[in-house]
Amino acid sequence: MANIIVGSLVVGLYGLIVIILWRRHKKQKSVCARCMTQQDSPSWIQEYQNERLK
Amino acid sequence: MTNKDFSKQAQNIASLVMQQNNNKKTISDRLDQWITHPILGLVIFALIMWIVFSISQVWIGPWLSDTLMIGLEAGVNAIAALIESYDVSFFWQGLIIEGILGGFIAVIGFLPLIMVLLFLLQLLEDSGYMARVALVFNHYFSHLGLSGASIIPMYVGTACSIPAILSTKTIKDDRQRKMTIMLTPFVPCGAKLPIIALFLSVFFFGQAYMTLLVYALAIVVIYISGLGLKYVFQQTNAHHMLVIELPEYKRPSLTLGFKSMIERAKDFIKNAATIIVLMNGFIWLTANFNFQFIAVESASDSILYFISSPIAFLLIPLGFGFWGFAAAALSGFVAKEEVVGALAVIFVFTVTSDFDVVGIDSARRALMDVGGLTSLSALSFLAFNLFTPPCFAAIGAMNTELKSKKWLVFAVGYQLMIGYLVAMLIFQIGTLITTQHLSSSWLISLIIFILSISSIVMVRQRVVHHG
Repeated sequence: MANIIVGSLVVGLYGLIVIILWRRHKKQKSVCARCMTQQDSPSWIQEYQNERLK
Repeated sequence: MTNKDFSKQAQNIASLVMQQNNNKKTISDRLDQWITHPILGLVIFALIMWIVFSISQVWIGPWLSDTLMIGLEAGVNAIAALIESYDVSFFWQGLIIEGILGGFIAVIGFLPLIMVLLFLLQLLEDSGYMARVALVFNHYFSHLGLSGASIIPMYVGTACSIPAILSTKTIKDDRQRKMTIMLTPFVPCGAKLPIIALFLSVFFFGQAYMTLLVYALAIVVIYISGLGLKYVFQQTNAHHMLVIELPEYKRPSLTLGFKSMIERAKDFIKNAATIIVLMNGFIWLTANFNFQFIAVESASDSILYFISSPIAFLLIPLGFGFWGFAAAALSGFVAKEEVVGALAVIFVFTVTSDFDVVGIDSARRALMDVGGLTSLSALSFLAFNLFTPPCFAAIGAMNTELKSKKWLVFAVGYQLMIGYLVAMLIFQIGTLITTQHLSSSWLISLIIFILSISSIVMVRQRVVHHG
């Protein structure tokens, strides 16, 4: 019984991880390259890139 | 109105809107003269980074890591005791404790070190200093045939190679863009920090200069491999300078530093809790079972051994021809943090029969006693993982930006060759210096080195003839 419960929890965890990764992958694909490069960049880099991509 | 009138009117407007500073230099201008100087700027940068690494890797970071590990170990031991008390089978016990939790906490254990480092780097960024660092390196890029625009992707690459590669869109010249895409993954990204932290804390604990040396090595590798690409692409020295508006110097905000650190830590934990846990489970299964899915007594009968041992053979000239290191390096292509997780899973399985948790001491014992790693081969393994091609997601970004399968194959091959050669040179030259003798694999190393250089010459010939 314990094996079935623990096994179900582990399989459930892995299923959840696969769903999360799949959703993240889909979300990342929908983000435009320009937005992705500017997400965490400092303001001076964002200004530089905006100027160059005009 | 005549031209003369226009000119006079323009001068009148200019005199109203512009301030006359009589060529007086501000404190910022004076500081910039030193900080952005091509040579002195590098010395100042090295000094600042040494302080940053000392605080994050030697003083505060390890203390926080130890505290976190005590909590994590207690948690894992409690879970292990709970599972055992319910008489759960060996399979599930092993998968949960060694596979899922063991690998997970080995990666998460380095989070405090990384968080302190990210906090300090954010403070430097906020102070306006890091933009000046970009200018310092810009001086050297023209020697590689790259314009100043290439420094921006490299800077972004210190966080993650994917946005860095995508940001090469801002480079107009096609050859310069291709070269930047190929060189950017050599910048140690955030995912490589746990590998650096693991090997430096296990083999060079308390030596902050070693972290500085690893980053200096990355700069040298970028420069030398850049010269190789310049030769292939027949680039001449570039003269386009980086034109950016430098932010004002200011006192950095601790709140902003803290927020940025928390955001990056969240991303790190999300990655460790998903892709790392998934991969650790896979590594544990393949390291403990054979193709008939029967539990193996010896690791040499496992699926993972079967997959990784042919690759391990190729790694002998690099000083770490053990199947476990080959498997860990392979797993790094999924996510670079996984190298640490995979090592934890593989070596715990090999070293202990009880479900021990990997700490620094047990990691050192496992890597040295079972893997046969020395300080020198550890450095070689670290270099191999830092400079071989990035994770699959970043290779996908390279594919998108290079827009050519032919160039993608060349880029991945070139990065693999550079990573291999750097690791090989570290081990072979290091062995010669430390033992006064050539290693047993010196001849094959020399042949590989000559073949690698010849392949670069051949690719150049193809580029000359076919474009």
